[in-house]
Amino acid sequence: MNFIEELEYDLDFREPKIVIKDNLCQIDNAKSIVMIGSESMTVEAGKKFVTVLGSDFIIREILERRLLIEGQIKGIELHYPSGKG
Amino acid sequence: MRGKSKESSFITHQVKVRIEGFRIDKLINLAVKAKIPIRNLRHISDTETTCYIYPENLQSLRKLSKSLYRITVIKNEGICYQIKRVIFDKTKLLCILAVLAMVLLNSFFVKTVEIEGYKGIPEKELRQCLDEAGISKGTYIPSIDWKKAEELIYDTFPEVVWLKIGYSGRKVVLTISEGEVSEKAKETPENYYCNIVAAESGYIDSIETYRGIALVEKGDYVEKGQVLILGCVPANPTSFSEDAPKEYFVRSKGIVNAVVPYRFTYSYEVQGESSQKQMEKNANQQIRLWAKENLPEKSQIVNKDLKFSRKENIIEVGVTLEIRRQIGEEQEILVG
Repeated sequence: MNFIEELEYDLDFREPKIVIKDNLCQIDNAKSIVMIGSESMTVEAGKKFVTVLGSDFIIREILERRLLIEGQIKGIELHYPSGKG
Repeated sequence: MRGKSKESSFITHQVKVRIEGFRIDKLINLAVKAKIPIRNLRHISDTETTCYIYPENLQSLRKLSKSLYRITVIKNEGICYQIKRVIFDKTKLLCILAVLAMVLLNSFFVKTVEIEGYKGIPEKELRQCLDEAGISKGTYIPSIDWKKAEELIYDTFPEVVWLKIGYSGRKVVLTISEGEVSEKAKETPENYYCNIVAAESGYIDSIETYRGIALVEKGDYVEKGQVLILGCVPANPTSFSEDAPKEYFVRSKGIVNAVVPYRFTYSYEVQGESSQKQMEKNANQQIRLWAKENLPEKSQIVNKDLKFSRKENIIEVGVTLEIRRQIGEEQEILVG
């Protein structure tokens, strides 16, 4: 990844950025929470929807465009809004 | 919002609320847009969620929820909140103040007395000595006179060569180091000044001075009570002070031997004749008896002269002795 690409990645607010470590998931560029369920949580991030699959979710913090989710994370799904996927 | 979120959650006052209603995510999104910080949001069921918010945001959240959601405060958390509660509750505040005062007051009193380093001196005696100096369980620490206690221990136990007394918290610790003290020293305290004077009149045979100034020399005749070794020593002051002492006192020490003449007579009855040898033998026996009763130990007969006179059956014996003996004895000097 060259410098321009890296800069583009850092300043791109249209795409979700997801970091997962152990049972903590950080989603950047989050706009809103779409759905909260016992086994999944869907977040609108940038132009996409991110669904975190698992259980025992706790939203530790909701910061400016950043969401910290803790729980038994089993997987991540990316969804495109209808007509754009 | 970020600034607040960085604060330690256990210090700041936070409110745990239960949100009940359909599509709770919509309310959460509205709260985020309204910059209401939400923490630890936990999904309980599709219609119930719990989360933590700051108390000042509770009203805003209720406004946002309108009549669609029910918001219930479950509990208040945070050290700041607990402190506030205590401050506003006078009874609790008084109790806490009373406990603090008790703890503070207790810290000023001795809880234990520890003694270390003792070997020959019984611990009980040391504790008794500390008691006399005013150091025991329950003593008010600032009122303890440490110097007095030190002096008292040194005075009471001459074998103590070093000691350290102090306190750590509520514990008083006495550390001592013992030295060797002879039995004689134990019996006679050496904390007085004295001269050595003659116990008997006689001629000085030898004088050894260990402390003090010798006033007589070999061959001198001394009367009973005459000072032989003086305990007042002139001082050579090295300072220019006008009040510098010109003399100082010591406990004189020395051995003074003198030849002391003794005279005594005795008589005894005999039946028939008595030879010179028998009379001398009898006289020697009498002298030994007399010496045992009247002379100190290590006395030595230097010269002996016997005179016998017979009146009918009674023999009178005149004995003249020259005894070499120790004649020095201590005479205390009263200073001041």
